[in-house]
Amino acid sequence: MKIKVKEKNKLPLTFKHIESFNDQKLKKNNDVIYVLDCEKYQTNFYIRERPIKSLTRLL
Amino acid sequence: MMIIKWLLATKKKFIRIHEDEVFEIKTENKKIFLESDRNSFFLDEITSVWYRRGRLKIKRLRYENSSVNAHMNEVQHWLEDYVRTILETKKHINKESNSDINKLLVLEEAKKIGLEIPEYYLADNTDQVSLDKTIIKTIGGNPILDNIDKDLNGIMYTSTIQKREKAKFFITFFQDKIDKEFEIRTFYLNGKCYSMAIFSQNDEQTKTDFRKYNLEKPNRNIPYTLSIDIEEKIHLLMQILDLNCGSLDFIKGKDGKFYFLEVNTIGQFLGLSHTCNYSLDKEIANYL
Repeated sequence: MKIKVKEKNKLPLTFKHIESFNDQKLKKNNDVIYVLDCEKYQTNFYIRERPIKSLTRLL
Repeated sequence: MMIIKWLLATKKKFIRIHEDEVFEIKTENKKIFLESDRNSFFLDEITSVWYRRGRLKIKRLRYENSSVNAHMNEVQHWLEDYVRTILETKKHINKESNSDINKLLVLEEAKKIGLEIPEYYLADNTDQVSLDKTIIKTIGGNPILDNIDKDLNGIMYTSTIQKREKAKFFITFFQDKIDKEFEIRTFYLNGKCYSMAIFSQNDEQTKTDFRKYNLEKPNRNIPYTLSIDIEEKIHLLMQILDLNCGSLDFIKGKDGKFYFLEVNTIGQFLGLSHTCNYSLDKEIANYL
């Protein structure tokens, strides 16, 4: 879906190509929560799943 | 958080500063000491800094008398400047002071170094644009417009120009569209390049901009090694820009040439790290 922007002043041509951007769309369609808030380190990106074990660590 | 896990695993002491954390500069035993609601540290106890978005916020006092205020503003400025500058002289990954870079200047530098670049120009009309062979993108660093409308975020992807515009518009960045074999994203850290090839050209949705992710059928991504010649040029470019870390975008054209597109100083790298098994989270934690 294209978004239309109206302004008095001129805008770059890129504004004719704005599309809607919704992070939700990128998430998979299920109820599983993949990342959590971490109180101790104040981040909101605590990965709930077990981290992927890198091949280099297995070698 | 991945980096924090590695820091914990390697038993390195660290503090994480939040974007909305406000520090007060204090002194204790003749030493500078910074304190917020969450954290506190002595300036000289910091050995390395990983900067990632936002800025270090420092509380500034206001004074009623305007000339006192002007004077105290300057005093506080120099004190803050001292703290910031000292932090940047420590071992670091990215710096607050140069994390915003000018795409246009980067392209000029890259050209001087000898990296291949798709021809580009600025214009306020489409009179001389070759249709379907030219792309436009924003000059700014962030193509996302948060809350442009009610509950709606907008994004300006790279797009191809298909028709001429009658009216003039605000100066826009135009660049030759390269027929690509694949895209390359390179994560650069202290002289080392970690690259990934993205096969985005076979999918209409991701053809011009791979960030229009196709979730049903994701692009194929594989580890990739650039030629030593290009890696050396990347190293040179990053040194000129005074960046020791960043993500660079390239296109491998159907003509066999590698075209440099841009540098993202604070790019996302964990996806690349996982796909290619580069363990960049560990590399970063090790360096700090």
